[in-house]
Amino acid sequence: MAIGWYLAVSAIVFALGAAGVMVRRNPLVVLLCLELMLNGANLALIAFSRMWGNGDGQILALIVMTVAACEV
Amino acid sequence: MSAVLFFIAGFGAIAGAVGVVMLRDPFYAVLALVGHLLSLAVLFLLARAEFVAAVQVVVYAGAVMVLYVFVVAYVGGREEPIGELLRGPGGRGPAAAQLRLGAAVLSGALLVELLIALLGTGLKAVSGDGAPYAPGVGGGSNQFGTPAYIGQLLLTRFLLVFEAASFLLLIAAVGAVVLARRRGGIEEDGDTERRLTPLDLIRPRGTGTMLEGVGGRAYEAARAREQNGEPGEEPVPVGAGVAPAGAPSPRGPSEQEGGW
Repeated sequence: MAIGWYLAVSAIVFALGAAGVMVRRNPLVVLLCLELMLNGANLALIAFSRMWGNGDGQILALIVMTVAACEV
Repeated sequence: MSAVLFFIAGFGAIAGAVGVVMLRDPFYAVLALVGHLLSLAVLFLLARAEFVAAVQVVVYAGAVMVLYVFVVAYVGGREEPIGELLRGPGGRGPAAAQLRLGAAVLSGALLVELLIALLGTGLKAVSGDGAPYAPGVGGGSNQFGTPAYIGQLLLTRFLLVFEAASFLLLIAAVGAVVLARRRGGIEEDGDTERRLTPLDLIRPRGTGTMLEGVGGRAYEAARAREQNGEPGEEPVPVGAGVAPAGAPSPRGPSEQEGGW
């Protein structure tokens, strides 16, 4: 699959998460939507890492996961 | 094959995200997020990030989501709405509809902008399949995306980042304990005022309290005998304020110490 498809999915997930942060009223669900946004960014990082054949993006994705775990 | 898998997983990821945003019950929202994370792990696998995919399934969809389920079970049912002032009670205020419409328009604009930025880029590699990759070629330990590869990067080039992440986790754990204690979530049983200090280990029992003023250790020994059911000896008469030895006291000596 072309890298662009991954980026499109990540953009859709990120926009959905942003919509959830703005629309939802329960603070817990707002946090869940924040996780959605982080995951959209993660997918973009992994896709770019694949694009260049470089592991830095994967390391950054792992760090983002750590931050998301601290959020709970 | 990989295209079919990509579309299944991508559709699953988007459906999970829609579920998180749309579902009313926070518990179902968490379950939708778990589905979203699992299909995202499939996408990671397709992009040759094997270790990150494994971490995503085990740590993220496993451990972190279990924590979220716990949080939902404790406080999620109670609606604690934010933005009540604008949206009105129950989300049916005058500005609620406009806010919802505005949020939809804003996120739609964000999506369009992201798609333009990502897909309209001048980078030719975006429409390609990525860097050349041949599985099994090039020797075991430095294959792209394997645990050995990630571990080598984490312990050489990104050592500082690795340590900073571990420090962040430590801060989060300590902060969680401190916040829970301040809100009264974690309590010692009984009195919260009294803490054990090093002095408590050194000094004789009963000193430094009002017990000392009314007779001290002799009185305490008499009470202990009385509680053990030995009515024989009278306590040593000391001072004026001693309670009569025959009077039964329901309270134990430890409560007596702090409670005066």
